[in-house]
Amino acid sequence: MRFFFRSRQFKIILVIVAIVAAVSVICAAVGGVIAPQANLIGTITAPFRSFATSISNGISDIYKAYSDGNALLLENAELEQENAELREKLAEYDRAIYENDFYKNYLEIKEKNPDFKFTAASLISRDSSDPYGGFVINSGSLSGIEEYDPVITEQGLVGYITEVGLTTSKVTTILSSEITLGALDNRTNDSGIVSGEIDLAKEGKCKFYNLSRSCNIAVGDYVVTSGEGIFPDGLLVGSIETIGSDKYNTSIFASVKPFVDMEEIRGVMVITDFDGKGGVLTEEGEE
Amino acid sequence: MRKAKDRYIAFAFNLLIFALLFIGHYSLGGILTVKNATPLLILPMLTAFSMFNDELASALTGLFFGIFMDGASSEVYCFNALVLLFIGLFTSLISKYLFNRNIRSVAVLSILGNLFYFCLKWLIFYAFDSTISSSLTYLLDYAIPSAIYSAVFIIPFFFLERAFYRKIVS
Repeated sequence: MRFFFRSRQFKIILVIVAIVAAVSVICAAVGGVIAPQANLIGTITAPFRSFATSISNGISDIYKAYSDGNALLLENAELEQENAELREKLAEYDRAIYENDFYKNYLEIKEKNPDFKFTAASLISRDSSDPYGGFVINSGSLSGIEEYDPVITEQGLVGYITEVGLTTSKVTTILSSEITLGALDNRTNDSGIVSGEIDLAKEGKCKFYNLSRSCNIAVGDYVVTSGEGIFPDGLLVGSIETIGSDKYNTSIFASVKPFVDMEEIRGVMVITDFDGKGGVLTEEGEE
Repeated sequence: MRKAKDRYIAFAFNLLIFALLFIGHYSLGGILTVKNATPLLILPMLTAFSMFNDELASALTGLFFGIFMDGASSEVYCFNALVLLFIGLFTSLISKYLFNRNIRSVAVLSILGNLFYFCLKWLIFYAFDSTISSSLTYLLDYAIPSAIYSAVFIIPFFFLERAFYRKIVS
């Protein structure tokens, strides 16, 4: 084996490693930029990945339609048998109507924010081994996207841009522990911080913490962005599912189920500009 | 002349398999996911490829598909390019100088390679997470199961690569 370490092959590999490591260090220093070689390859392979993803979505749709159809048949049979379940269903409809009203309000909020500039993008690849559900979209710096731009769907907040290439960008979701955003309980105005945690990410949830002991949050309340940090205010994050307190009983935290199902995302909107863009929230909550 | 032609055909097939595995992993989602373990099929394929190819070819193949992965995955800054280059290089070196080219050797190399990849990924991206509990969650619930699960796929890839190798050598 020692002959190999003296060979020309080894020197070539060493040079390649040095170049890749140097590029990596430069990219890390600049921040938010996809490495040039990955950017080039990413741009070349984007149409193929997009095509493969559309095939995958088509298969998934057929499967879902089939399974949903079966589920509905079962549900109808059960509804005929039990009036109580029917009433429960009616309650669910009422809740859906309420949610629709809320979304209408959300649309109004959007209309009230003419400063928002959007870029539409589609998901082209998803790293299935990423527990936080990060993905790559088919728009990059050529479409005006920059690092830290918020990413949303019509349902609510998805996350933000972490790396930008020419025609692709990487999105980190709100399930990730990398993300820290200022948030409010929409009903009580209690403020806290939303961040991801791997244990909660498994269940598709994130954590709403740093809430004072005197807060009045309740299960089912909606959580929206407060406008501190990189996100504009009023973006829907999710609804509170459980509430707990820390081990010293000094503050309250809650688990939040995002309105956006990260597994089902196909198209997103990137907010490329809004009034007050540029703030960064640190771990301690300082802007 | 014929040998050279066979070599090119085998290499083209290998590239095609790598490309399909890459697209499958990043487009079809977690179709093979069991609980939290998601196999990264490029790793066992690279191990099998490196068993039957020289160091430079293995390292460059690892680098090439690592760059592909860097463009599509959520990891940042050339992580996959460098790690796959090392896995390709050392698998090829070890199989050439220390191990025999049999199923037991390739299984050991595959498990080691996969553990190296997933544990390094944990160390760089998750180990210093907010709490010790969440840091260990990734290692125990995602990284180690995914590494072992990925290693299972070495068996078909090994026989495939051995068939290519025998065709070229004969």
